[in-house]
Amino acid sequence: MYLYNAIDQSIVDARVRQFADQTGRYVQGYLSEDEFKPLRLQNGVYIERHSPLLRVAIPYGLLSSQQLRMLATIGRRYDRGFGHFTTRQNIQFNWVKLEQIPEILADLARVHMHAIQTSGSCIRNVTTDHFAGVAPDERVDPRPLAELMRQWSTLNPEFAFLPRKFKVAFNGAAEDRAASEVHDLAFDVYRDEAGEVRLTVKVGGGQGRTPRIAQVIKSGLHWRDMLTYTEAILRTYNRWGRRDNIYKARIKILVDALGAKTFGEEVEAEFIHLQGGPATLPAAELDRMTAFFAPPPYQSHAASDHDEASQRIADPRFNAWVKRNVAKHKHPHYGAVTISLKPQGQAPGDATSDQMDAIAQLADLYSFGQIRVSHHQNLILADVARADLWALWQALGELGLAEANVGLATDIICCPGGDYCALANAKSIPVAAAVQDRLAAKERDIGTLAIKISGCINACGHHHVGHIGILGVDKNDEEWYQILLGGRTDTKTSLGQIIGKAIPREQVAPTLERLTDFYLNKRQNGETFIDAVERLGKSAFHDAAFNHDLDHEQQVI
Amino acid sequence: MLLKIVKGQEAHILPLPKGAFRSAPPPNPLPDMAIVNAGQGDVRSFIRPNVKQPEAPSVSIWEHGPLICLDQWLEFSPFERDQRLTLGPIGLNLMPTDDPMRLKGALAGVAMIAVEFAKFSDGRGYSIATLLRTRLGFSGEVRAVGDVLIDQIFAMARCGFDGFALRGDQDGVWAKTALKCFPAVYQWGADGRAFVLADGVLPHRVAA
Repeated sequence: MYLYNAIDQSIVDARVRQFADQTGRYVQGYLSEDEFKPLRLQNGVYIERHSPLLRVAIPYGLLSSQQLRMLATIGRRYDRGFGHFTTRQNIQFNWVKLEQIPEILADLARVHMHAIQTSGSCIRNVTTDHFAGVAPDERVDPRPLAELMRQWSTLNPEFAFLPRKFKVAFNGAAEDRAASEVHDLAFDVYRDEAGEVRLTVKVGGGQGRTPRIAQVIKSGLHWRDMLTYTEAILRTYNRWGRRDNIYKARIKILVDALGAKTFGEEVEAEFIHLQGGPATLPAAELDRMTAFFAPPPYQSHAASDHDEASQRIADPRFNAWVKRNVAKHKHPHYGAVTISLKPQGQAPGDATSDQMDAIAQLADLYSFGQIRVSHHQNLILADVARADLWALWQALGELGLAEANVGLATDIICCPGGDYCALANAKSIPVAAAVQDRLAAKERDIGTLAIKISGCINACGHHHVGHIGILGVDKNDEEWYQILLGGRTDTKTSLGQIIGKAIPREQVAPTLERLTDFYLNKRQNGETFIDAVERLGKSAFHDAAFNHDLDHEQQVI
Repeated sequence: MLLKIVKGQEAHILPLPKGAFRSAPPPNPLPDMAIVNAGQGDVRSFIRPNVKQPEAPSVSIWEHGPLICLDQWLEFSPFERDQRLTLGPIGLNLMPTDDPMRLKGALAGVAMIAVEFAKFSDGRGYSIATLLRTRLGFSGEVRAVGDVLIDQIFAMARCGFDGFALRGDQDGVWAKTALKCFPAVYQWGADGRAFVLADGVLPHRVAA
């Protein structure tokens, strides 16, 4: 993984001093509430419903065991002994004190971490595939480019006060595990026939109030032009993006207004002046950066295949876990293990400090000391020898972290919702718990199903791209929920559509059960839930979910 | 006051006449940290979807007289421009919505361009300054006026601003410190400062 040099460290240390000074001036009354707000947001600090919150950047979701231990320590020292992993591969501490945040940032800086630009109207934490570097369907490992983008966007002077937030994602594989097409800016990375790394550039995707799928404005961009082209996009957006209405300020609205073609031409006209200029990446830079992400020293464990097979036969729980939680790896004797942070009875994405410490230790033992955070709010040990799977599974079991539900109905993506968030219309965590309760017994039969819950239209819980999405809405000061169907981001991106009227919280889990029961009755030839939705149509599922009483009455008559 | 960067020298502070900078707002109440740390509850009702856009510049003069707005300057005939020049150095005023590229070929005789920050959080001024410097090659003073606060001047300087008409309550000594708050920068900027992701600094990076 990328390691800071003295320059990187000096920049992050300076940022810590700067924010300590700004916080001090706010506390002493030199900075007004309005003036301090964007400064604290650009350091990841929100003032939430019950407490300030600190969101720490985990660039493209990659952590060392040392960093995870520091996060555990921060959870213990400044919070209530836990942290919450987010859908942007970051971590949030929900219960911190504002005056302690400079101290926390200093602790983070000691392990090459920061909270820079995890909020605010600026370029946010760059995300990518949580299986980058190990996925068999990968064309190019996107992490070296993601790191270059991280550096370029960090404290970028021209784009610190954009019309609205700006999210960048990279995808380098056949299956888009980064949900890149629902980002403001998405890069598809590939190799051309000459072996050169090139990018397809898409803009204007996003969820929230006006969900959009990003559209291609440039193909075949050479990686050396990545930053100059991004600069052209951002300058176009910074100058012409709407600032008169915060609900219409994202780049997708500008792309809508101009059309992707015209927007692309505007960018191109800007890019002409920048291409080949001083911001062009040095020719050797990609090699240098790629070296940081070189594969670890894998060992050959061919003899163990038989052991794994017999262990899987011997213990069906281990078999289920391997099936759901261990993904195929480029190296035949390794697997990528997902540690589910979605056991029943716990807020999705939460991990206690003790769990973080324990996972850090397991990473040291079994996965070359590295951990990834997925946008599904799970943790991943990406390089585990298959011979070690049995031992790892047993260790995880002792920690209560061996839930074999990855990709199943109880592996729910869920925002903090009304329990924490000051913007939420409705609670999300209790809805997730009720759905987990209701579907846990059937989830293996149901198979792959992505349920995603957001407590408000801002869509932190990615409800637009859930096979089933749940959106909290406010109806006369009461919490109601809208159900969406048919969203996905895997090999193609589509946005879910609202089905039926909003329903009260206690109706959410039963409604979902009717949807999954309908699928179980109608499925053919092993098709998944989302395939069945596409074959049978949303209205069939709508009727099953919402007109059930009617059907029942008609049957009685 | 005006904080002025002169190449090769320490930034220095000059007085400005009233009207050439935004006056100080009333003092802030001291935040009650117990209340801040107790959160702010449900803030949905405080969100104002529509953001007021600036209509008139908040600063209309500089030390050499009135500022000329973009449309007015472009309407002047060459003769009128020359005539203006005999009255003293020319200063223009650009609003956040103004397109600086309209000044292409019309910068002769312009000594200073004031870029209006109606609100400090409106980032259009950063791109305007960048374009003035790098696209139009303007070498006179590019001055930030309006809601100019010390926490933004580092970034402003990186985008090519070299004059800062600080808001009335801002501290000049702190402002000088703020200009030096980062020892290194990652990305290319209109200030021409050496940056980390540049060609040619690789050996330096590897050694660091």
